[in-house]
Amino acid sequence: MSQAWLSYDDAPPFWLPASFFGAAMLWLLLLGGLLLPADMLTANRYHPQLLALTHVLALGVLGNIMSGALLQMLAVASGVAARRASHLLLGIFLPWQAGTALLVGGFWFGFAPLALQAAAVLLCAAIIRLAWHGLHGLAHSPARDASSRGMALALLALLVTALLGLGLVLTLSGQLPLPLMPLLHSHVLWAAMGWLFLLLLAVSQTVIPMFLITPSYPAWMLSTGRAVLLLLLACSLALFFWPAQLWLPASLLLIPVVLYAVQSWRLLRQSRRPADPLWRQWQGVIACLLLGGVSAWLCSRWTAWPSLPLLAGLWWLGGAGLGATLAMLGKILPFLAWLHLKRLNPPRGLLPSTHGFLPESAQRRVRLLHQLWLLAGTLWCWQPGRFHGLFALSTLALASYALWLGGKIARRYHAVQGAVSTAATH
Amino acid sequence: MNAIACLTQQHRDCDAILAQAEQAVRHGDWTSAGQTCLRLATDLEQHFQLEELQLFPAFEAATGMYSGPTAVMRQEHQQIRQLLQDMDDAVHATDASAWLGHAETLLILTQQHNMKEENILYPMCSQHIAGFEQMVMAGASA
Repeated sequence: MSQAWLSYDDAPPFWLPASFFGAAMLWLLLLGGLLLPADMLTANRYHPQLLALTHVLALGVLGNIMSGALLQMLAVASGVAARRASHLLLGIFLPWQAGTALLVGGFWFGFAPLALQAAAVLLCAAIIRLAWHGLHGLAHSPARDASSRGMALALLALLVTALLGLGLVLTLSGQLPLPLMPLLHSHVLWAAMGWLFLLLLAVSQTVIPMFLITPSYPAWMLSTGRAVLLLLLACSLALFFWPAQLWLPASLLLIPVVLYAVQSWRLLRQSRRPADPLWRQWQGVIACLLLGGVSAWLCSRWTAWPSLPLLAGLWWLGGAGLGATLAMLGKILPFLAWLHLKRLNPPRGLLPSTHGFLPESAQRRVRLLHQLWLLAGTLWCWQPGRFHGLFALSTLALASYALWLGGKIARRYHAVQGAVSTAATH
Repeated sequence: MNAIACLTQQHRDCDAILAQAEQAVRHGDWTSAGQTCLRLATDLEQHFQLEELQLFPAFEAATGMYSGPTAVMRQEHQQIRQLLQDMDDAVHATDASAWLGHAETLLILTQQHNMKEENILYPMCSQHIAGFEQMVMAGASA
């Protein structure tokens, strides 16, 4: 067993997760900018603009926050050291940004094959590096808690998602003779249910009891994660070989979502801290998860309304995914700022509390802006040509406010850092 | 209840007391807030004493790891004690905003601290310390 176990020095330096979180907000700003020109007048899930926007949200916004938070969680909850932070920045952060930019550009400019291929290679490289860091670290960690095991499942699902994405790009550019639609549906399922839902399941088993002081999730929740992976495998096999039987595993996939939602709701009701802004934020996450899950399930049987797949994606990614990640950021970022400044041994009274970096009122405003954004997005899914301006403006407002808050935290951090240095020299 | 469950339960009991103090502060009941904070500080100190005076030295002697996990845990105990002092100052100043800020910092600090102990350190203690169960049970009932 290493002597360095549990050392603060093994946790990533502040700038590593902060780079991911900052980049995520810039991608959110770009999402608002890309929504301004209304190329898609009616709902069409295969429109190049929609594919570009979906990947800005999934990879640029959510992917960045989830990766940054995962590196932090792996270090703190599972003892997976992040000793070579600059290597992680080079191996994960940079190819992730470049790959996402190329993928979004490739979709935006009509499926440009070279851009899509370069994007697939860069994103696969970043994801393999992240998965290696996490899975190798978890295999050597003594931590056997539900979150650590759940993070391993989510990372496995992310790997499969990336490989399916690579297969899709190679098929689209004529380099692989694979059936396109089964690949596409598998990619979507593994990304949404595997990576996003499993990570949400894993992280919430730690953070909900921890931040809101609720009883623990029951032990069977971990088995739910494993069942999701098996069902995803069954769905992919059905998509490729027995499409007529797809309804069965696809319908069964809804069960873990409902179970998680019901269990989380029950725990929230038993929370000892219902006044915390996270409490209401998580209620919204659960509601969006149910709305998104049921809409996605309906998509396979009710094809008459083309807005439905868009709504499913919006509620799942933008409602549950973005809602959960923004809520987590509101807790993680101020605490990381406090924790890293505390290591400088500031004189008593110099270091503000976490609320000094981000007050509860700011977290409530983020929730409100996110709800308005979701409402505008819902209208946009219904009539994209009519509501694109409203959705674009609400995205820009949410991104600008989040960036302003991030800047405020950074300024406060540097001010305290400067004051500590001054105090140390006098 | 085994030793790890007993130590974990002490963490949960302190969480519940912190939540109770928070509700009192949010309702402006400073008398109850002061009493609950005192109970929190007492219970936490008792838990820290068990760890710092018995568990950690036994772990260090068994593994030879003197500057590893136990040093970090002691450092975090010190930070928790400082935050409890900040909260006590806020109670005396009846400053709800300051108290809630320090309490949230304490909550996250203790939770990530507890997570490291429960997920990693306690299982290691159970593995390396002979008489771990008896030591914890005797310390908890003292």
